[in-house]
Amino acid sequence: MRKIALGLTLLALPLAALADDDWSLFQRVTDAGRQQPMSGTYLHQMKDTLETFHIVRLGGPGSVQERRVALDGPPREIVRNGEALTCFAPDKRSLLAAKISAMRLFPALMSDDVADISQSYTLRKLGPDRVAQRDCNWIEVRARDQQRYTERICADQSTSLPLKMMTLSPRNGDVIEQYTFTQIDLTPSRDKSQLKPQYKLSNQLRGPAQPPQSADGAASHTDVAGLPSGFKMIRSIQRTLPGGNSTQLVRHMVYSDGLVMLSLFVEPIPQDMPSALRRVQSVNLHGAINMATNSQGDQMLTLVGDMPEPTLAALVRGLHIVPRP
Amino acid sequence: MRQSISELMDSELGENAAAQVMTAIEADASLKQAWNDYHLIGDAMRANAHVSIDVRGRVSARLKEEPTVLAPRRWHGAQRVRMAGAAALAASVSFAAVVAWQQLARPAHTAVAVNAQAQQQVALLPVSSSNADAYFLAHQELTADQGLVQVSYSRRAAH
Repeated sequence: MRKIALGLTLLALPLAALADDDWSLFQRVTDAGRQQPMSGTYLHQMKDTLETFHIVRLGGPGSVQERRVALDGPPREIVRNGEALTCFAPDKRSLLAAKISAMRLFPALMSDDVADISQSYTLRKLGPDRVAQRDCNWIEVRARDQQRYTERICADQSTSLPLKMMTLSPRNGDVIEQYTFTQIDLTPSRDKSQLKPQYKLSNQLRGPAQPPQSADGAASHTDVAGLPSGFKMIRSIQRTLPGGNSTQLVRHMVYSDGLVMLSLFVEPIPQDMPSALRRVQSVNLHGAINMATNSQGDQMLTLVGDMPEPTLAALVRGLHIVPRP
Repeated sequence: MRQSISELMDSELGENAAAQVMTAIEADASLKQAWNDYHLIGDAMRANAHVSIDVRGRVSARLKEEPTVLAPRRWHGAQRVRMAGAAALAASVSFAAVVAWQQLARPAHTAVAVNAQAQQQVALLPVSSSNADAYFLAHQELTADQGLVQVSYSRRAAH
């Protein structure tokens, strides 16, 4: 009798796992991607470039300390200390490269609000695989509207940490960008010296507890219609663009669908802009990040984000900006 | 003579022959141009450019107009030019990215890209790249970490 009970319990375990809500699995993947302590080496591939990084992460939820070092290309380091994010490099050119590399903090995903993700994406499990000598399971997050990138993640079977990640084009399934650990240790040495940056130039991308730069109330000045369903505005500020010497104020709005973020910039059209540049234009910036611009009346609209170039171009054409009095 | 230039680049010439070729390059502007072009091509090839684009059709059309067509061992020259087209096209594609690492690491590549655009008419960069850079960095500043989203969502929830 006892044997039967034990047998039933053993049978019930995998069943319980099956019943586990897929999105709560995704939440665990997201959490592990951000917090799981480890040290390892990963490859990052976009189009025709391939880069290698070494990452060390110590601490736990709320007190993550992390350092990633580019092993090839311009020398750069990206250090995370709790909520603070800083990049380091030996010279200005490499520092710019470091800032750009900080766009991608594999194995952390951009996603945050799982409830919001499920509005725009569906999730399915694709089966087991092996990455960096560890067993993992593939999951796929696909946009319901087929206009956004598909994300495939192979999550470690014991910790849910993403070991491999692919961004796919929604149309033909081409791989746009991918990451994979080649070597990973989930019980890293606690030696804090491995977290110490070695380059002298630095740029803090985010402070320990950065106050919001401006109130969300700014949204009341502008209404935007025409964004795909599921996108919600998370920030809206008036700002000048970095790097330029222009003092022109630009309205910068940031939207998220729970998985990716999209920036919309609205500004007056510069008077000296040739009319050829006022049409819809798009360009690939970095990996899966694209940009599209269009002019509308006397305003110039610019979209930047992790969305396919054709999607962004179509979006920027169809956006309606209605300034409110 | 172009053949000799290519051999000089590959260090296949003896000292005397090399000296001859170098004098010829000094004297002839078109040879100097060829010398520069070959170096640009070499740079592009070494810079990890992904040479997979097939431009053989267009290049062979152009080759027909080349005076070197009847030169001995012309297949060697042809191959160089073909690689030039492909490498240059690849370079122009990566130039379109605001941050092509090659560009960051080796500013000389801008020349290849510009050259390629002139040759291939690849209309990939209507947006001025310095401009794109500014938007890209602005986007990056506000989306640098997921923490922001969390903060914003919880703030919204609190309203």
